[in-house]
Formats: sequence, structure tokens, C-alpha cells
Amino acid sequence: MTDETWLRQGLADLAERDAPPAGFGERVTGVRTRGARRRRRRNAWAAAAAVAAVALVVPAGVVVTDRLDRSSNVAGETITGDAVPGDFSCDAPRAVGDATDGALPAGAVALRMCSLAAGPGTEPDATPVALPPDALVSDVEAVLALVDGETVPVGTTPRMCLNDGSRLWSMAVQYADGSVRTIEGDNGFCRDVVVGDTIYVGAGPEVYGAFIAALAEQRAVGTPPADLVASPPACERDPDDPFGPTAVMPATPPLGDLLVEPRLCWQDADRSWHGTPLSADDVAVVDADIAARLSDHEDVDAPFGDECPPWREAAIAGVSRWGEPVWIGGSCATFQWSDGRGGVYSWTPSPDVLERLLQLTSTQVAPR
Amino acid sequence: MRRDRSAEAFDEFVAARGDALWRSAFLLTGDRHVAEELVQDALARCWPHWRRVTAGGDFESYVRRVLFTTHTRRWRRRAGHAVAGDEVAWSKDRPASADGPDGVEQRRDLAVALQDLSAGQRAVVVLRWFEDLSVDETARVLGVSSGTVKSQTARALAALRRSTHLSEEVR
Repeated sequence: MTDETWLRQGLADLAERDAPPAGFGERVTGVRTRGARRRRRRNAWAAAAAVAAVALVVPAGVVVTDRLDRSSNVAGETITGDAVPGDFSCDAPRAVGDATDGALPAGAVALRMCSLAAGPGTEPDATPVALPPDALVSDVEAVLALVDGETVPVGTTPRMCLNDGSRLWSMAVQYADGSVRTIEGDNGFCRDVVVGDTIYVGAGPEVYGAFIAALAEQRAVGTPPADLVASPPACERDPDDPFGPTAVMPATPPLGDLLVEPRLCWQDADRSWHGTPLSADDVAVVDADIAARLSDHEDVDAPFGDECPPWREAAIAGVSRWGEPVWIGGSCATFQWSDGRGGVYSWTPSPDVLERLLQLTSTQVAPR
Repeated sequence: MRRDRSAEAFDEFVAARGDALWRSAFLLTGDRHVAEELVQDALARCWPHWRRVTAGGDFESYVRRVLFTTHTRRWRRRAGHAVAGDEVAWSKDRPASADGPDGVEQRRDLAVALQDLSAGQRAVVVLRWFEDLSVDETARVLGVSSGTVKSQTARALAALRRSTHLSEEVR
């Protein structure tokens, strides 16, 4: 028996010996309702797109004053309770009604980023994203207060927005009584936030950015999870997905504070990826060099030096202390990263540090 | 009325093919309940496109593509955590079988060995040797090149041959 024949028989046996959990049939036929809900939300984006199309051909002020109301998502109701902030998952059942009138009650205690999906007209989930595993529990209402401004009812006014390939995001809002509601938004495209049946025009980037900034601040004064089990990152890149999973939260040096299991990854002339651990001493040397030589560049095509080391590409990779993948990559001898707010930083190692890194790689790539 | 007919036809499809989809999902995930979640997720994603897809193509193939790609992307997001969790699921979740302890153990070992593969490799193995798809068909389902399927296949088979979970006679 060849191994392929054995594998075919083994898989068939495995699949046949088990049966779906009890009630599977009833539950799985119920997905049509979930699909319809998803479609309604997608239609909300299509409607938003149509509105922007009008805005493109008519002076924006005319459209806004004629069709949009200005309002805030703040409602009179305040929810109280003793739920533990942040003690909920993205899978938590949503509150009945789920803010269908576009208004969120006061009393939110936590906010969790739940998904980043491809926008309308783009390939679904084209690039994997690592969501923050922690919930925002400070400044929550300050972030939600940014969900305001001009509104338009979902599905009523035609708009057209440029498809810039950006992602739609979704956040779950936890209340003091333990209930959870959802808001959805987009940083490009129409740049809106959808709460229930109401679109807050153009609020997306501000809300998203405020969430990222507030979570970064919360982490700066907080304690990473003590039970984090971090595996060394894989240096090998999937040729169809060369960037690997991208974390929502920006990864910025110093690396000593940022990384668990740091590694130097590099691609050799044959396009094979290799990796080697970075010691605490290596990381300290790199951090000192970054501090001395860091520069910010608007023009990301220009920062590379004249000479390239033997690697085609290299990266400092690892797992953040919060459990997210980190990949600070570069070409030639320059490494780059984003601060998550539009700033791009680059670091070209000093000759001594570059030599130290090259020595680490030479032990791996030298012919045996 | 046409919308009602679509809903009815979709429900008929789910009733007829739901179990088969679940079996593929089960091989991919190694967990009965995660498999159900995956099937539900894939069907929920596909239902809004029912009329468009059934008008011009094979809805089941479309669902399978979404199912497999959803799984590989989920795994990527969960990074390394999936392997340990799924191993536990396999070992606790296996019901007894009537065909003898050796057969049971051998399949359990295959199940554990499968969980040691990357999600992409597992998807290729399930598509190639459970779904009986060709290299090109597998590439179309996963939305990758045929070369990637071939390289993932070679790596998966090599990993299974090396797996300490499989006994000598089956490697």
C-alpha cells in the first residue's frame, strides 16, 4: 500500500467515523438568517457608496445640508452594572436590538476590535490580520464619543465612494450590565461608522485611530499577560502571502520592551528564508543603534543605502508581549516600521551593528 | 416568491450537503464543534450569493472554497495557538469505534499527525486525498498557484512521513 493510498483510506475512515454534533442540521439551516443580516450590513456600505457618488458630482456642502442630519450617538439611557470590563469575547451574543436606532447607550466599559474584513469589491480577507487580543477598558467613552457628526439612514440615500481596498472594521462594545453591542466602520472607502441603522459619515478613521492610540496608552501603563505562550515566529514567508499576518497594533521599538522570542530572519539569494534567535545582548545593541540612528521618512522608496548586505530581505521578527506577530522588515540594510498613525520610520544599522547581524546570518548560510 | 424559492433551495442544499461539508471541516479542524462553526460561517458567507452562483456555477464548489480559505485564514490569525488546542480536541473528542483498538489508534494517530501540519498543508491534504481533487482543482479552491499546491503537498507528505505520531508500517 502506498502512503498516498493509505492516506486516502485513513482520511475517509476518520471522516466517516464521526458525526456532526447533535442538532447540527437545525443550526446550520439557520445560517441563512445570519447571511441575510450580513447582506443588510453590506447593503449599508453599498448605499453609503452611492451617497458618495452624488457627493463627487455635486458640491459637497449642498448634499450634506440637504440630506444629512447632524447628531450624536449618545442616547439618554445609561446602563449600569458590575460586569468586569474586558471580560467578554467577540463571540458574545449581541444585545437585543443592538443599537438599531443608531444610538449607543451611555455606560460602555470596554471596547474590543473584532474583525477587519475586506471592503466591498475586494477579495475577501485578502491579507490576514492579527487583532489585538486585549480589550480597551480605559477612555472607552472618549473613543465612542467620536462616533458622531453627520448621519444618514442605512440604505436610503445613494452614495458612491472610491474603493481604495481598505478594510471594514468591527468593534464590540461591552456595557456595565455585561451586554454587548456592535459598531462597524471603514478607514478608507466611505470612511463611515455604522451603528445599527445609522451611518455616521466620515467618522471611521477618527474612531479607529482613537481606539489604537487609547489601547497603546493602556498597554504603556498596563501589564502584559503573564500566561502568554509565545512560539518563536516562523521566518519562512508564504510566497502567496509574503507579508504574513499583520498586527492591528503598531509594533515600535525599543525591541527589548516589545518582543518575546526575537529572531533575525533573512532571505538568501535563492529566495529561501532563514532565521536565528537574537540574544538579549543582540537586542540591546540593536535598540541602542536604533535610538542613535532612527529617522522618519515620508518617501519610503528613498531611504536605502548604496550597499546591500548579502541578504535579499531581512526582518526582526517575534511575538509582542501582548501576543501579536511582529515583523519589522526591510530591504538591503534598512528596516522600516509604521507607528500606526501614518508615520513610517526607518533604521539603517551602523557598520558595526550590521556586521554583528551578518555574523549571525553567516553561521546559517555558509556552505557546509 | 422567487426569494422564497431561493431560500427553500438553499435549505435543501444545506440539508443534503451539510454533513459532507462538516466532514471536510472536521478533517481540517480536528474539532467537531469548530468544524460546525466553520461550516456555518462558510454557508452564512455564501448564502447572499446563492442566486448569482447557482445561475452560473456549482454552489457546493463555491462553499468549499470559502470553507477552506476561511479555515486557513482563521488559522493564520490564531498563529501557533491552534496546534496545541486542536491536539487536545482530537484526543478528548474521539469516540470509541467498533473496528478494533489498532484501527482506532492508527486513525487517532493520523488525526494528531494532521494537526501537526500547517493549515495550508492540511487543506491541501484534505482536498487532494479526501476530496480527490487534482493539483489544479486544489489550486483553484484555495486561490493559490499550482506550484504552491505542489510544494505544500510535498512538504505535507514529508512531514507525515517524519511524524512520530504514525507508526513505522504506515509511514
